[in-house]
Amino acid sequence: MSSFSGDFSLAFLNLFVMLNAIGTVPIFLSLTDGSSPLERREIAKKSAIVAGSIVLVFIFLGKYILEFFHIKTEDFFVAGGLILLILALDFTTGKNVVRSYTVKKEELAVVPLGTPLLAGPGTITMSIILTYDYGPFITALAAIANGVIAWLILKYSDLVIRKIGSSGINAASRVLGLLLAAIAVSMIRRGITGF
Amino acid sequence: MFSFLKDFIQTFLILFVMIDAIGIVPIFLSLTSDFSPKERKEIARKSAIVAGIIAVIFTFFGQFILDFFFLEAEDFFIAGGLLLLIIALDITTGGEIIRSQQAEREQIAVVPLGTPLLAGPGTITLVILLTFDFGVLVTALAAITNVIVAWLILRQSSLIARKIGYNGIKATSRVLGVILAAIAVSMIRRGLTGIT
Repeated sequence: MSSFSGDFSLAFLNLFVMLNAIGTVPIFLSLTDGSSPLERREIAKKSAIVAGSIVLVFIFLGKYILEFFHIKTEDFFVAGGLILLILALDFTTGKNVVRSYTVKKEELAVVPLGTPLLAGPGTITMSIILTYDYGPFITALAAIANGVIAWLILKYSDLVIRKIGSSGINAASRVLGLLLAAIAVSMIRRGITGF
Repeated sequence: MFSFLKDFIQTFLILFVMIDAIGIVPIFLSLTSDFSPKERKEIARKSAIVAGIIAVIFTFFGQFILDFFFLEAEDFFIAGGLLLLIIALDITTGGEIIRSQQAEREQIAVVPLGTPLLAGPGTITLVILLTFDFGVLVTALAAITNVIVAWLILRQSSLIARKIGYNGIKATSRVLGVILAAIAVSMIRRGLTGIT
């Protein structure tokens, strides 16, 4: 599985699960409650751009940041795996993370939507780890594709919620969380066996 | 001279991430919300001095304390790594750490600001660990510089808060937490494999 399209789809799917754009929809809707459809679209676009830019920065600079602090790849795998695992367990057990934000209306797109909801610690970790596996180019492409998807999902969020319903979103989020938990454990395993 | 400078910058930055003065700004502001600007500056100065004294004591006597309790450096790496890891996981996954103490008006400079916020268990551990790698002199210098920087940051906190906003502060400390978690794991690994 070292073909370009294979690598790309793996990187894309890993990031997609971590970004959890579908899971962000209910929060997005409740946060933008009272905004006009036009404003809502503007916020959707801006938060996707913010999330994408954060991920791109870490794809290209993450390696140097780790090198600077003398952190081995294996250490980052274990630490990142632990962070992902905690977040994934939160997803699957339906606990609401990072949702008690006091937000100003204008900054909504940056915090909490852009970060930490879309591009939080988990996504940052995932993008650095994916860069090790697939290289910065493919990971960056996958990140951009994910940013576009997240934008579309948020843009048509009222449609999404009408189609699959909030319980459907809840279910999807939990299933993705389970997958994410397994990915997290595999990262920890890879890190520890590399010690 | 060049390697001294490099060591110093590295030690300084690692301590800077641990002390997380920027992350303390919102708590500092909320603790001092009904204080006058002058009082706030006084509190900032006092809490930095307290943190500095604690850090310097552990820089110089940390090794002695280890010997007294028959601890190997490796034990401290693992224990310290676990301690840092818990704090880092708390920062990254959204918990509020030991940061909700009630205190008297003047005493907030010592507790909770001086310790455990600025020079908490994580910082104390890190200072001891850093002396193994970089020596007492560099670590003490880096600790003192960090305390001065923390003082300046807290002093200017009203300004900073207005610039990046409460949410910006929250977001920054989360990103710092990912790096901190990896530093913690590297300490545990070094303790386990015996390569300190």
